[in-house]
Amino acid sequence: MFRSGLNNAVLRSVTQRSLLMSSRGAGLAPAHRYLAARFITDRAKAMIDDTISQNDLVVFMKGTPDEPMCGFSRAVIQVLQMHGVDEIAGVNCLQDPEIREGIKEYTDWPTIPQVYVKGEFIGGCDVMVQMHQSGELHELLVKEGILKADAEAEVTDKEQ
Amino acid sequence: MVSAKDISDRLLEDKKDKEIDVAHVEVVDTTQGGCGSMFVVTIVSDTFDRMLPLKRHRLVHSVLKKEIEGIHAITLSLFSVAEYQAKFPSWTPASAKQDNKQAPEASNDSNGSSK
Repeated sequence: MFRSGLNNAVLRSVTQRSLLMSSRGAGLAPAHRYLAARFITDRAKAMIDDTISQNDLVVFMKGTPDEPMCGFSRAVIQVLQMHGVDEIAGVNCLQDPEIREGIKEYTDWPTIPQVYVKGEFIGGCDVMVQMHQSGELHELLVKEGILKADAEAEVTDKEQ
Repeated sequence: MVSAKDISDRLLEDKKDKEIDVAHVEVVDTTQGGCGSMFVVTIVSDTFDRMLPLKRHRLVHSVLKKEIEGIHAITLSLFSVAEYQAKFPSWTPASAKQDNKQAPEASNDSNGSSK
């Protein structure tokens, strides 16, 4: 009796957790998210959840936007700045080992930097540079309202 | 210690499973000391055709999972055959296959520094 009650409680908390995760962002399949987040600490998960929900654009990086400590992180910041993004929330993974490892599991992406826009994972350095070159990054930043309307002219022209 | 050859071997081995049907692979060791080993990997495959960049990267991450765990950084350039041909008009899938047999390390690339 006691045992099955306990099991139920555990099961319930696991179910709630997986539901919670599946409702967050559309970047990954729910089952995938659940597996990816299993070993992450609660503190790291809560911190990442909060950060990506409270900031339109977040870069999990080595160093800070003002002082990147790694060439890949620097490249991502430079690309964003080139597009005129002036508010970048940077999370310095070097200062927090739990986040440094946790973010890899959270996103199911093995490397840092990682860029989130409006709570959704966009890519790492290669993907960001590629999207910059193809023009997709500009489109995305305008669509998500990260860039203001005056920067929109170019893309709108192209589309029409 | 993961080498450029480990990475290209894994990718060519994967060719049999067709998870990524590799037409051409180039791995350059760009390790500069300090942080750990770094590689630049170019893969040409029709598996990437009409696949978004993020998904292409995830697919390669899954195939190279073990190798990536052992290194510091990896840069991926992933092309479909048509995309690569548009970039390098003289390249053909047939010539690439032969190249891979003869020089699997692809270490003849002039950019590959270090060690």
